[in-house]
Amino acid sequence: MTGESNTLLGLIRRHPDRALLICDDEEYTPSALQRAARELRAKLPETAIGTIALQFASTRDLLTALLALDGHAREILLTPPCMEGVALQQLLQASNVSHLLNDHGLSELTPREPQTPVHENTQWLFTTSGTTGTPKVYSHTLRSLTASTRSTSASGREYRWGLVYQAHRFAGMQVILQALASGSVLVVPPSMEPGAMVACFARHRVNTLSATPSQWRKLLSHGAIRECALEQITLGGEIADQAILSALRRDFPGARIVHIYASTEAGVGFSVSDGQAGFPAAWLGEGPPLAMKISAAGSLLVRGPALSQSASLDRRLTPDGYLDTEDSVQVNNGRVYFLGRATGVINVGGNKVHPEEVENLVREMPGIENALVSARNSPIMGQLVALQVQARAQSAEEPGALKRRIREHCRQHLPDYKVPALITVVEDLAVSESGKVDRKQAV
Amino acid sequence: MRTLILQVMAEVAENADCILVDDINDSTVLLESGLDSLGFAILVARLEEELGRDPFAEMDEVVYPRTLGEFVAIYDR
Repeated sequence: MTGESNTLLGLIRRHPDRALLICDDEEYTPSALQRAARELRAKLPETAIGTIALQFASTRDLLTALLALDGHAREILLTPPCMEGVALQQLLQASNVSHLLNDHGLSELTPREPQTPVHENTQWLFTTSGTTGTPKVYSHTLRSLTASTRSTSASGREYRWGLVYQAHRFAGMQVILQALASGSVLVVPPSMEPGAMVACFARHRVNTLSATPSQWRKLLSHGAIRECALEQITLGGEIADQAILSALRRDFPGARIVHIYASTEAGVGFSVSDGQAGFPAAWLGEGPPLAMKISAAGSLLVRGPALSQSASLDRRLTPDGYLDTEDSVQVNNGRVYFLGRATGVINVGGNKVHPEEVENLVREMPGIENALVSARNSPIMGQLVALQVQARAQSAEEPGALKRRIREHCRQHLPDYKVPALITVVEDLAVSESGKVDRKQAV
Repeated sequence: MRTLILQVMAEVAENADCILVDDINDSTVLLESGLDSLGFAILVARLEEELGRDPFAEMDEVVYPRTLGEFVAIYDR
């Protein structure tokens, strides 16, 4: 079939007979997945291959549909499985979707003429995890998605990837495609609940995981994660603080630990593998890994080959072609540290506070599981720093004593205005579906 | 109300390592009480937690109390 080698089907055919996917404790070979994909494709009418939305709870079903449609449909919308009602309708309409394929089969939303298969250039539409309104949609092709994956190395076969991210998300699809491209085994857990996830990873001898620092904190709080002989550990999506990097190093002394910084808008990123937070200041300049500098306002500027085009990005471009990432950084002892989002700054009587800076400081303390800092409106100072903190499960510390300890620690390391004015001890700090600390639960 | 306010004031002062003046009474000028403006902002926020309301945010036209007596009166409204 024309061009199939450059489609998702072509990608998995490189390693036909070994188990490729473990989902609900069942093993699937590439041949079995291919068969299922061809059967599905035969059932889909040609009117459906314009813009089609996929919405599946099961990663195996999503993967089968992607195998059937990549290189065939013009656009595939990867719809969040939990989305329903008006939000779903708005997303489907805004993306001009004609057909929806889900657990109940195919439904036609808008009648369409029969379409011609596109070959190779199928657009994969991802949604952002936006906090309000209709999510933003951005597109990739299999080629752009696999641009940074290492393919078909002998070592790929030794890796057993666990999927921590949801499959329909960009970060999840990166893990899936990395595993498929290199002939590794991909283990999909039965649920996003950390306990069940960890048990599944241990059962299937997962040795490679990629997750956000927030997800890693949750995984580490389940002792069973130490039963996985992790060889490759990746952190992305949030600032990797020294506390989590050191905890991972302590629990997995032999593992390669990498944290990733990526600017999706600039289409660039780099990884840091020395186990230290931030990155060497010597990397500022023309690269490698890429052209970077720090703006007068203290945010990181990057120059990438593939800037996505949009009006909202234009205002963040400098005359010499750099994109303002809006991530605030600080150079300290030859190292560049991320302070947090410039847009999330709390303003205490004219003084700027990055929530992440305070969170990272609190997380360094013994007995702390996680921390979330938010702004609290104040008629006197404009805003105040409010902290929600979750103690470790085994901690029996009385909340008052914990708060005192946090205040003292912060006062030793921070100017007064950054010290949390209000501290609440909570049972659990939620992590959003994208794996990041859920800033919506801020007080 | 006065008791609660004095209690929370003492707690905020302790947390912020400020020392309140001895003998705080209705005519004590707030900015001379030992708390700075950040301390007062925290006091108001903490009182909101205790009382479930922030009378400053409820005002149409914000009045900045000068003395402790005026401050207490705003909460007594």
